[in-house]
Amino acid sequence: MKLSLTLKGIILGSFAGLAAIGIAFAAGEMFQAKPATAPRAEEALVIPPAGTPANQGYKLFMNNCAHCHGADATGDEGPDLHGVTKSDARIADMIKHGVKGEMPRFDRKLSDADVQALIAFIHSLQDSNTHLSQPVSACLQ
Amino acid sequence: MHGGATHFPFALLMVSVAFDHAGFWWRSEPRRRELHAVGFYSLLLAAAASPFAVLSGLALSKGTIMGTGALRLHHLFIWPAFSLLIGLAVWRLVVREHASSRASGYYLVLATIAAAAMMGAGYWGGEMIIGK
Repeated sequence: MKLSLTLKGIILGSFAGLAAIGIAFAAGEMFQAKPATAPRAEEALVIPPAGTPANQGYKLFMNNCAHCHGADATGDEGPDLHGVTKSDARIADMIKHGVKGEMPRFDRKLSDADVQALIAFIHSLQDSNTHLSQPVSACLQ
Repeated sequence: MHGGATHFPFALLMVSVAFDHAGFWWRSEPRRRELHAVGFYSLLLAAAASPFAVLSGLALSKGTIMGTGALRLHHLFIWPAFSLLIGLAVWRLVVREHASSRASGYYLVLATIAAAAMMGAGYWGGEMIIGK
């Protein structure tokens, strides 16, 4: 059976596209420092009760901060947020105006209420040494 | 490093799609070929540069394939864009200038989707860096 050039291109192109993704995902596994048996980062985090400011702050954290501070807030590119001793005003200032060369500013993205919710979430981390009682997906819904 | 490496495939893909669109609609045949040639080589360069962008991104995120929040949104756009970019480049490499008008039309639609996905990935990547 003789394939047309276009069909050959489609087959090879599809194969190459899927192979590229497969190789990228395999490379991702290689870059992961944590062993496969380690618990998922989100599972090491206590989620504040639904309806509280801290819970709202948790959602904001997951959407805006987790990629730098880690999904469990124990730090990654950014520092660990457990045991933060700075004042609320200082935390709010850092969130709003960032840290030059280290952390972006969020004053145009987050409202004052959002910042207060994030601070409430950070406070909730201080005494959270137990493990997750509900799945992350349940809280995000 | 990721911020630098990622702009080459991004810009080259945009150039490629723009020139291929121009070539698709242009009436003059010699000019169409020239425009498609620019689109072709831009696409090949974009595809060649894209693995460096992907690998530097994976290194930056410590191998995170999806992640959460803005990183997840970035990845939801970038993985289809990367796959399409490589696939379309291979297709162009195989068919060269022998593609039918209909196949070229389908190609343009997919390349436009890849460019749009790349823009989405760029937007959410910027959201992580700029934060506003």
